Amino acid sequence: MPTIRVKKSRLKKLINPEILDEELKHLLFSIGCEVEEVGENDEWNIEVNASRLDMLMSEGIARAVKGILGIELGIPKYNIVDTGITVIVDPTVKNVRPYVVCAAVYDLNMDEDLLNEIMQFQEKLHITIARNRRKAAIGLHDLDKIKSNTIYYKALPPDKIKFRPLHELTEMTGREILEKTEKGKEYAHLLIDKPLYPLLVTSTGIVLSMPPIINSDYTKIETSTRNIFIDITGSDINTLIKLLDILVTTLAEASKTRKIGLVRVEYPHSEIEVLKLPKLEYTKMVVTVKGLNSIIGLNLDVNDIVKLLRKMRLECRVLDKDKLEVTIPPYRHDIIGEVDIAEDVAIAYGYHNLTPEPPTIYTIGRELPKTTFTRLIRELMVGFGFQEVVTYMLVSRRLQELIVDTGILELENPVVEYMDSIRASLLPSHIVFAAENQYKEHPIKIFEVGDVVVYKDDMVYTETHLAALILSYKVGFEDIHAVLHMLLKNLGLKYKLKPYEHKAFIKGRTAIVVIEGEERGIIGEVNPELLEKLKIVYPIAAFEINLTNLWQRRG
Amino acid sequence: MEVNEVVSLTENELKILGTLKDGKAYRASEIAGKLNIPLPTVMAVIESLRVKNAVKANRVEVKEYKLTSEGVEYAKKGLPELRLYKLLIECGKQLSIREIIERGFPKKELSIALKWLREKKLAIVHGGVVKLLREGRLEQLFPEQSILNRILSKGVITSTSITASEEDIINTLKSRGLVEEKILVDLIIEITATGKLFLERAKPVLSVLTHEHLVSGTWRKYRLKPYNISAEPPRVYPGKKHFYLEFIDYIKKILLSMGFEEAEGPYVDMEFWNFDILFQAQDHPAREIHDTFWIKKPKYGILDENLDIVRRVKEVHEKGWKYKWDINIARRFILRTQTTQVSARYLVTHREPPVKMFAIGKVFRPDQIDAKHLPEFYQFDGIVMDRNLTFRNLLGIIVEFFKQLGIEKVMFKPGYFPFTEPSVEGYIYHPKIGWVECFGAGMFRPEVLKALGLKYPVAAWGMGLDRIAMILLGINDIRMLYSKDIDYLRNMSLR
Repeated sequence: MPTIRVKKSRLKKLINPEILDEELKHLLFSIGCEVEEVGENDEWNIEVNASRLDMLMSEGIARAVKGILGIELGIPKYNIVDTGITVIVDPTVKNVRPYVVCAAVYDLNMDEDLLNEIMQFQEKLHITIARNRRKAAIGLHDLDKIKSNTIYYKALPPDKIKFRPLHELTEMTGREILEKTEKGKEYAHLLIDKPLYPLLVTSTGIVLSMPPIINSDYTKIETSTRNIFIDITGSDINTLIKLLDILVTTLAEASKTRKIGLVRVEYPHSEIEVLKLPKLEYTKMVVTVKGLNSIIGLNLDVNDIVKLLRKMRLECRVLDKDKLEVTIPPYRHDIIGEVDIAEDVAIAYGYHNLTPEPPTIYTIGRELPKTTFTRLIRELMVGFGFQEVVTYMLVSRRLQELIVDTGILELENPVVEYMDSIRASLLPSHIVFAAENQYKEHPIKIFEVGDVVVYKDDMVYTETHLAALILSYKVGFEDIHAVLHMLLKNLGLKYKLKPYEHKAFIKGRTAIVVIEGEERGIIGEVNPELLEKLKIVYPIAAFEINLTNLWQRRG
Repeated sequence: MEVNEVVSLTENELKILGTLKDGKAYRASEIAGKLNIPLPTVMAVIESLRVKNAVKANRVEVKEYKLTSEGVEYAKKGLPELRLYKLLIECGKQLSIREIIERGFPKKELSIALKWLREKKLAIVHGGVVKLLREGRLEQLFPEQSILNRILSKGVITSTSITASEEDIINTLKSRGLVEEKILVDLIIEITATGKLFLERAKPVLSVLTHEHLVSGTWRKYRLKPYNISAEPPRVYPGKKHFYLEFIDYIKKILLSMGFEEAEGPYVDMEFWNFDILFQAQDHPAREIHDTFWIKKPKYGILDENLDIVRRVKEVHEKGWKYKWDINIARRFILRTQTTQVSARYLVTHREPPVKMFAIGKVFRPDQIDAKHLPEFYQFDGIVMDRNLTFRNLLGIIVEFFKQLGIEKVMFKPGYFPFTEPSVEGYIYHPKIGWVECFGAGMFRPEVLKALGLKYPVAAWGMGLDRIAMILLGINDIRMLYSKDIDYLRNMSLR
């Protein structure tokens, strides 16, 4: 879940300066935001649900809270004007970053705090919906510094690009930006293999940005900025349009005049042709009172629902006593169906006001036959005096290779080397366990019933195994065989041992365990070579058997 | 007399008490002789028995007689008066002094011999002639000689072994310088009632009772040695189930009692079952390499694009998320990141309500390893499907589950999951820790129901069990749930 840091006093000012901390926290919790106080000062960390990108800025949170409090109800309105700016998209961007969308927001009362919030909002959008700028990259500029009504979005060879990037002192080429600037290095992977780099540049030659890497220093926004020009570039036009809606409507909450500027984006060589942006689409949806009630489990009438939805900043038109048309503001792209409206009803109603009501369905509880069977085995093993252990399913491949002779599944992206594969056998971890406890009171007798993943004949199988091991000053084949013998006898399973050779065990003291006619495991004394390699100075006798489906073979 | 405490007797104490068993009084010296134990040892043992009230002992004095060298000489060749008497008998009962000497009688012994013959009124001397007055048996006439011989043969005799008349004779011999006298101290001892009890109880001590003792019955001869029962015992460890799996079993028991059926699924699965079927867009961050483990080989599983379920998944994704759904991403093998994968697989084969299912199993996410995070942990998922099932029903099941677990306070917050709506995140209250966020839940989205081909509402929830186990078992470090320290497991108390 994304988290933003805000000034508590600023957030309160946007809602109602009189509101108490605890009341605000409770309200935030009720709409899905969790507050964590940061030290003694004025700052709060607020965790926001990933679906509510519009709340990644104090202005967006305030917009929602004001609805719940009834300070503002229904859909927020914004003033739309034309910027007069046209962005022309050149076909050269097609193979780099094909789409751009733009808009403007006017009359911001900029100060240090607002500037910080805008930067944070941009950053949080980048790491969430924008997928670290891969899917979308946002550029914010001081509209008044652009001074041109025509902007080109085109792609150029890196060395042909030259401008002073944000916070840099000198002009750099596109290549230098990737090599030398901090952001350039961080996002170089998004451009490095492309022959042409995208660029937003005015007809008068002022560079706005080299998306998705960095803006120019010249158009940067500062505390003196009043009007903001926004560009978003990316590969998926739908995401860009959505994102632009969320961005402009939320920034407009910080504008005295709530004024949003339209930009004409021309795609002369594409099917899209011309876009007037932002789209600011107020979608409409018809829902039924019965449908909403049956999802939540309430018995509200149409008027209750209208009241609740208006608190959620949606607009409603009652069609009849069971049907209403809901208008969804452009920043709520998370609402795509009736269930989403139902959730808004429930949130406005208050989750804390919903009385939990366990269903009265008659069903019979049943555990897996495997659970019943393995519990029996675990009880028998405990009866033999063995301590049950729980080892990790992720283990070192190199360790497994010392012992396992089936295929091993390796991870593409392990976190640590000692957890870079999935266990195909329990014994490797058990031998390591014994090694780490060899100087504790003897005998060390351990067992585990656990699942393993085996890779053979290009197929992946999940199996349930039992492994048991004894380490002691003096221990041998007979000691562990005795356990296996009585275990299987008590389970009513017939078995025999077949002489076998295995790299982990001593030749002549190793056998395959054949249970009910199937080869299901191995038993033996661990090879001294292996003991030496693992720095174990006491003998070990062990067995491991595959229990999979044995529960079905017992009468 | 009462003997409550267990008294242990030494071997010598037992031997001496045993000798006194018949109730008669014995002298210490006598016992020393009988048992062949040095008298000083016997005396010391008697003193110790007396302290324990096992014997009564009285002190007595005893005279001991020994021959002087002259006494030894006369014992061997006879007293002078005896020898003179024998000579007179041989020579007609009368001899002159000169004749006696001529016949070899030592001159220096003659006066002694005459003195005692005269004293015994056996002879008179008149005019240089010794004349025998009467005859008799030697033993009667000379009892001194038999005493001398007795002392010679024994070396020493004591006053306790002679009669009063014999003591008179010894006194005479003493005055003649033939016998020496020494005064000794002795004890006369008798067993007491306590001593008899000791004897009964105090049998030889035995440490280890064996099969042989039982078979032969010889255990009766022994007293089993009492142990120091407050000593530290040697360590033995029970075979024991793992405390965390016991906790999981407990959770399972609760769910069975609530009428849920257990299910399971594979650990290595295609993204299709872990993400696509759950309406998680293919470019969702959770599907990226930072949040999901990918398998190196084999990279892909088998998924037929013509299957109804695959077609439905494609359709809901393309309509809902507005992108081109790629079956090759759905085929990619991963380690499951959530047990909701089990729920989805289960619902495909259980389409008719009512359905109540749970799954508990390991899930995997590429997390760093520290006290709170591991790349693998246990997750618990539950679903209920029924006609007319509501969001409030879902909240009800969750509250009921926690109540069974002993947690009374549960708090709900609006949440977000791609596959549920309405969604909820839940917090439980623990008296020591306060509110802890611990589960996510919601009603399956229509897109998910459609993909699965279901007609009825499904309530679903999931939670990490490691965290709940840590809270309820009071463990601060998640790694201790998988501890490699056998002593930690051996000593961990079960609840």
